[in-house]
Amino acid sequence: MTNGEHEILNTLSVTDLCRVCCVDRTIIVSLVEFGVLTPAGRSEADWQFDQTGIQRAVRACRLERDLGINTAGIALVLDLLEERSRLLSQIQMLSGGDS
Amino acid sequence: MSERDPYKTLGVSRTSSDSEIKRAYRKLAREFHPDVNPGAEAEQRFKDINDAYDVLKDPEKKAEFDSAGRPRNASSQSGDWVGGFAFSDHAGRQGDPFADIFEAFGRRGPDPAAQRQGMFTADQHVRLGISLEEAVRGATREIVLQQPSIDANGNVVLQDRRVAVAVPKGVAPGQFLRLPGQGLLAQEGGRPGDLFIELVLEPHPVFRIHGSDLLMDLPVTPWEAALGTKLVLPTPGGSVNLKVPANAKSGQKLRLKRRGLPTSPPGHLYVVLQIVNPEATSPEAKDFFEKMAGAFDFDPRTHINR
Repeated sequence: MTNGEHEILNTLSVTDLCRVCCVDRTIIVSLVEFGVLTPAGRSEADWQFDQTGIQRAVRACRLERDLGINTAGIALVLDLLEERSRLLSQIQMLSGGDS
Repeated sequence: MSERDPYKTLGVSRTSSDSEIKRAYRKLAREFHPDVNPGAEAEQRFKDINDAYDVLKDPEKKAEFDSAGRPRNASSQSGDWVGGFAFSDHAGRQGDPFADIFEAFGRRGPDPAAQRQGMFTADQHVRLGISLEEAVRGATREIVLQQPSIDANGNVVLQDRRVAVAVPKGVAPGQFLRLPGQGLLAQEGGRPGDLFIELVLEPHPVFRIHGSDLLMDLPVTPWEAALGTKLVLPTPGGSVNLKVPANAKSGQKLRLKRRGLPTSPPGHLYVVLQIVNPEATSPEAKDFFEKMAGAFDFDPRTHINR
């Protein structure tokens, strides 16, 4: 058994995000162009993706790969999923967790 | 449980055409995709659906199943060593079910050719489910990875490799870790890749996880709610003292600052009070409620009756 040190990924550059998502750079760039990802930094070389961005990117790439959804569709699906989870937690709050 | 009959898994018959099978697969894949349906059940179902489609989309494997009743490689590999944090293990391989769609949109999944050139080959991606307690206190978990290697007969075999993962204290849900040099050894003498781990918080029977905040329902008796009480509340980070104020209402939310997930900044713990009535079964209990009815001039329905 190997026991290695770990690094918590809080922010990532576009190059590292490509490695995490296992996708080509063009895919991340198009996710940014469609507003799915909103990195900090002005130019592509300076982009920094925070934790929410990393999670969104991984989800987006999975949806694209597994379901064949295009970028505009992913943008819509992720927005709707986030809206749904917000509403679900509101229901939980209102119903005292019976749901 | 994993369904062994791929026809049953996809809900198609043996006489279904290729396009009917493809349609059934796509519909189920959408329905059970774990990013759309969180939970271990959907994830397992999604894997089964993909395993089933792997058999039925391949004429050779399909014919083999039809005659022998099982596919050649009956054991499904959960190894996500190709394709990032995939739920299915065939993502990006040749024969990708949506290759035609990716091509239609001018892009593809991870390029196997690029992987052969050493672009991503060596990195390994794993999703690790952790309990709320492990996220709060930290833990060491052992994971088993599969490393492809070539045996004496020149066949590619998958060997188990054990890696200890130190889950840091206070991780946020969906946190990613990188273990440098713990990925695959792409070639003898080469540099191993990194191991990327996605930490997924498993649902907890008591606490609901909402970002860094935790939420729980706390049943209290009518007298505790009326008179107020102090009690000791077990939380994932240890016991805390909780003061229920007098005249507390059902559904009232109490906030315990910084008692949620110990992320930075830490989340809060919200306790939602639920007043639970004891059942009045004995004559004494009934008598007591009768007395209460007499003692209180209380109508909770004034807003309805006017």
